Amino acid sequence: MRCEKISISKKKKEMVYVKDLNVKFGDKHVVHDVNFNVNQGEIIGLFGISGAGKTTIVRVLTCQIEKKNWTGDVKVTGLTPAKKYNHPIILSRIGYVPQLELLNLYFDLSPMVNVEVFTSTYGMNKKDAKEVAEKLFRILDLPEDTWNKPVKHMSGGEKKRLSMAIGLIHNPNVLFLDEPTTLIS
Amino acid sequence: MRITKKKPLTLNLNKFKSKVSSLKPDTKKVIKKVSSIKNNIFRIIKQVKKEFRLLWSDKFNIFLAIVMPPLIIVFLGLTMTDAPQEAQSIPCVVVSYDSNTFINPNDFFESQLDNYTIPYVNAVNKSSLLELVRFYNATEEIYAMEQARTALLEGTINVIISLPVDFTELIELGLPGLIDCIPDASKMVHIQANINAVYDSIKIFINDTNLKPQFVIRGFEEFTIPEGYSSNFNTNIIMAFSFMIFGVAFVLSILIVVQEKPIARLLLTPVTRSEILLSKFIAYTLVLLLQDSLLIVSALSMGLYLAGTVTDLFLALFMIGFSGIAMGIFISSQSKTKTQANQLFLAFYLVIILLSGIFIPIENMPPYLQVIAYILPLSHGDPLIRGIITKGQSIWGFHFYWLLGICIFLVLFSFLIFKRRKYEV
Repeated sequence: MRCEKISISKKKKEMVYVKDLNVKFGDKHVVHDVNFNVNQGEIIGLFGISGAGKTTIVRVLTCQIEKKNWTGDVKVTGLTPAKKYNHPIILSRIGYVPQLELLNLYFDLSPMVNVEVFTSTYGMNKKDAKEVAEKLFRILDLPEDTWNKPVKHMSGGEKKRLSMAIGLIHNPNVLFLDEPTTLIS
Repeated sequence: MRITKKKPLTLNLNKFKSKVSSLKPDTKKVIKKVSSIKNNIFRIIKQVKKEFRLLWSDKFNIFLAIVMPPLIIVFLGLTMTDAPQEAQSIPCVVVSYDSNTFINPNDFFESQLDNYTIPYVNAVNKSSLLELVRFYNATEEIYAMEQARTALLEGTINVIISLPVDFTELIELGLPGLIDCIPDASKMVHIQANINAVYDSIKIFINDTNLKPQFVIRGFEEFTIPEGYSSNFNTNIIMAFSFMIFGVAFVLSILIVVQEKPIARLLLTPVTRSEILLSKFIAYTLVLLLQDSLLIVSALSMGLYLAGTVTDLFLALFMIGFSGIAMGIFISSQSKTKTQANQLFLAFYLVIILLSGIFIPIENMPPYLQVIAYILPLSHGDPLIRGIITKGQSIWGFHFYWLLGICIFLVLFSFLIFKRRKYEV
């Protein structure tokens, strides 16, 4: 597995810190001694063959894997996912765009309502959410006529971009993208 | 046709980041809000709203939950509120062994019937509850009983009435006359009606022959439906109520957890599992309240005779419906796929209906089945509704508390299972 960094900022606030990360599910050792850190303004890409453990690392960072399954020193925005009480704060500071839109979007609801559902979990009111969503939709080139129609009528690329918009909607400190180029037009 | 050339989407990282960073809201502000109680309530309300939106996106669900149950009540009301139909007479045969042949064994071919056989056959003919298909004089037709049994087997009659050999003699001696009644027991629910019809013929027989039986039984009916109300409608509605409210609530909630894939993604936001499940319970409870109200309004407007109070009926229906929701969410929380949830639904629903006591009396079941039957909600829902509607009983009793217990158990276990359910994106 390889990590590639692109630095686009001079600020050096540590956003993700991973030291000696090992993940085990029973007897299966999935991730071996992974070390990396990401500072504010940096973009890091994880490359590896299928089953290398890329998604597993992201799952540890996004509080999806219980502490009993992993060891090492991990911090996301200065907080460790090892402590359960840190989870709500970490989750409010990160954005996540999964590989499959099916897991991220309510296909029967419109993009605007999808945005409302997710932003409400961060305590954002409807007006703020709508304002931010409109700006993001424009940045991500989502056609305006699709904003209020059910997501199921959107193309694959549009769904992916909507998924990205939802990941960015609360202006997270760290954005995790799983297979971000899939379906992107 | 004019084709507008779309500008390709290009990603300039610096520009993109500066644009995104300029957006509201301030992350710090958001973080402050994450763990406040006010925000928890805000999130739950928004999740409830989402549930309603998802429900609204499936119009068939709305039809099933809100419109169909009152429509069925209205349909029953319109088809059953007419003047009470004349009770259908029960087809029967009378097989008489009561002959003086046996009194005079030297004259075997003489088969003069004894004094009381013909009056009894006349009484059967007079009874509006019985329809005499055929009379057999068993002393002449030696295969009378076999023929009668064949008729019972074929379903052309529902009951065989047999007069024993000493029928007349016993009456003449002032002893109680014996009549054998052989109903078709394969139709369990009709057994009592068959016996009642035979009793009716006996009453007519006693009156016509001025017999003085040793015991005079006078019957007074209690908890009957007053005149002006359709007994057909009321009888059916009592059964339909518990089935309908439980079934609709159960079917409506069976997939709400298992089919909602984005829950996995929602859990990567500050919303908690408890908030998600609680919002589902709240949303579907609100739907249930609406269902209850519509059912009661439609039933009362169609002529339901209610001996108890509307509040008690409302609460009883609510408890039965809520047990359906709780069971649906319980199954949905622990099912891995929609198929599994649907299969479990079918298995549970069949068992719940079969053991509800409506079709087979619980007392007639083997002890181990009785235990299961008494645990299940409908075996308490039906007597609860029946008691309130026909006897004016209060809701506060064993059946209500048992239903409450079932609901609390299912809700708690749903939360526990949902907390442990594995979600990964």
